Amino acid sequence: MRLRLATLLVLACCACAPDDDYPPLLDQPGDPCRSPYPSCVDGERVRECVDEVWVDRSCEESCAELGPAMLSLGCVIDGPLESCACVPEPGACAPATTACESDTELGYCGAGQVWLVYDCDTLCASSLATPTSLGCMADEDGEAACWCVDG
Amino acid sequence: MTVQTKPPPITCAAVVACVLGCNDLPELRYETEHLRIGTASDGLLCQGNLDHYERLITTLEQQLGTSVRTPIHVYLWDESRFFPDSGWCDDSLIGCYRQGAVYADFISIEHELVHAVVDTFATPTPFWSEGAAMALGSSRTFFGETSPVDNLDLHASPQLDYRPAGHFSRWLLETHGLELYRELLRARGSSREAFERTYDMTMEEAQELYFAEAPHAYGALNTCDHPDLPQTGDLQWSETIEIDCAAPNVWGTSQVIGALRVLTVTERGFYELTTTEQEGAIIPCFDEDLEHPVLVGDPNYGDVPPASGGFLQVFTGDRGKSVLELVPGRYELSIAHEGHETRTAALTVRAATGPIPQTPESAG
Repeated sequence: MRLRLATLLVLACCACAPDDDYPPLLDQPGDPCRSPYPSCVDGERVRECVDEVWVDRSCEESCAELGPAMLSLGCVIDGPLESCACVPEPGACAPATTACESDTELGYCGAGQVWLVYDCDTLCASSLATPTSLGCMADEDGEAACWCVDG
Repeated sequence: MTVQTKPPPITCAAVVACVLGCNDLPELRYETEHLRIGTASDGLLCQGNLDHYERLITTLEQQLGTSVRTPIHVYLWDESRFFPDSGWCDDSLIGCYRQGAVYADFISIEHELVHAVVDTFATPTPFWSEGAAMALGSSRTFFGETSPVDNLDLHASPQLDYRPAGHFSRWLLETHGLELYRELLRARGSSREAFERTYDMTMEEAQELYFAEAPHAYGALNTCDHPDLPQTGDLQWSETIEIDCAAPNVWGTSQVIGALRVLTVTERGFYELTTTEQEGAIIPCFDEDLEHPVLVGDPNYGDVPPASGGFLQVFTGDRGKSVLELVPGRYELSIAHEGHETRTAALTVRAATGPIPQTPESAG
């Protein structure tokens, strides 16, 4: 009798907490979110966390947030990452890219996707510990910058 | 550090552990005011570990307005990978607290110690119990991928999602204070009944406010409680540290010992980090709340961003990076070597003399 009661208790406990009783994910449009990771709804639409709510929108809308002159190539799945592929319009630069304009000048794609040229002496002067410029050079990854040393 | 040589007292927890896996409990080797710590091997802990765990208990006592009157027994496992095989907790767990005793590895011990302190004055439901352990531990809490309401009646891992439990508890602490939170932990009934009786609003109403107000992450309540690295000049910090397991603030595992220091940076810039120790590393302290997730590579945060659970950057060895761009904030520096041999090591941080790359973006 005692064994039977124990069996019933075990069964009752299992019944009230099934293994697959996981809480539903907050991943639908309108659900609250803080995630930086979008997901593709289809080839042209993306689900993104906008103002802390999941929103489905077109990749054109999403790319436009990166700069005023961006084009969408659609939503792309690359392994675990899903996002809109965005490229600059012809004649525009890609936001935050750099290139050496001369030995002493750095080009930078600033706000509005407009190419701006900076003098390395001026840029280095803003660095507290390394105010002296060695000029503009690209690092081993090909990224250009003004290189600065201490006085 | 006191090594206890007499046999450990047999506790109910020992019986529970035996039922679970019939493994022998390790010998109690270390004793602090509030803790009796058993480890499988001698030399697992150094004075810094013991002081840190003791400080955590004292801080929790103050935060929760309680007192640990009976020493907490802690059975500590060195190898996280094999902890589930120890039989001390359920297979799926990497630590547990049962009837006055903590069974844990180095990752889970602080979480389980919170359970032990809460147990001195309350027996909350799993949602509130795990929520408290997450909210009062030494890590950030995060906005989860499930809602608090959907987790209220879940009983344990893996079904219960600890993230929203912890983040919701922390939000309650931030918005309604400690007194009500203590009442919540002591309240009887289901998770919902306990909450609604304490806070005088429905869980759904509270959850709506939580979704609107809670940041992506709260800073940890207990973080970087290590000595400062002394400032020795303008944008320069340095110290010669004796890495001796018996010395205060020296940490150990069975394989390494080392020291931890806190670096406070007030000016963004490139800094050179050097040490004579075998390995040095830096991570951000979990001080600030993060409104939104921070991704590694975000130029606003430099080379050691406050990303998720923390981003560790090694600054020694071939794969290390010794010149780092740091933004204002507190950082935890660790230096360590293999084995428990006592050594003296230098640790220095100073503004890098270059050449360093500068772009309009990094110049701000």
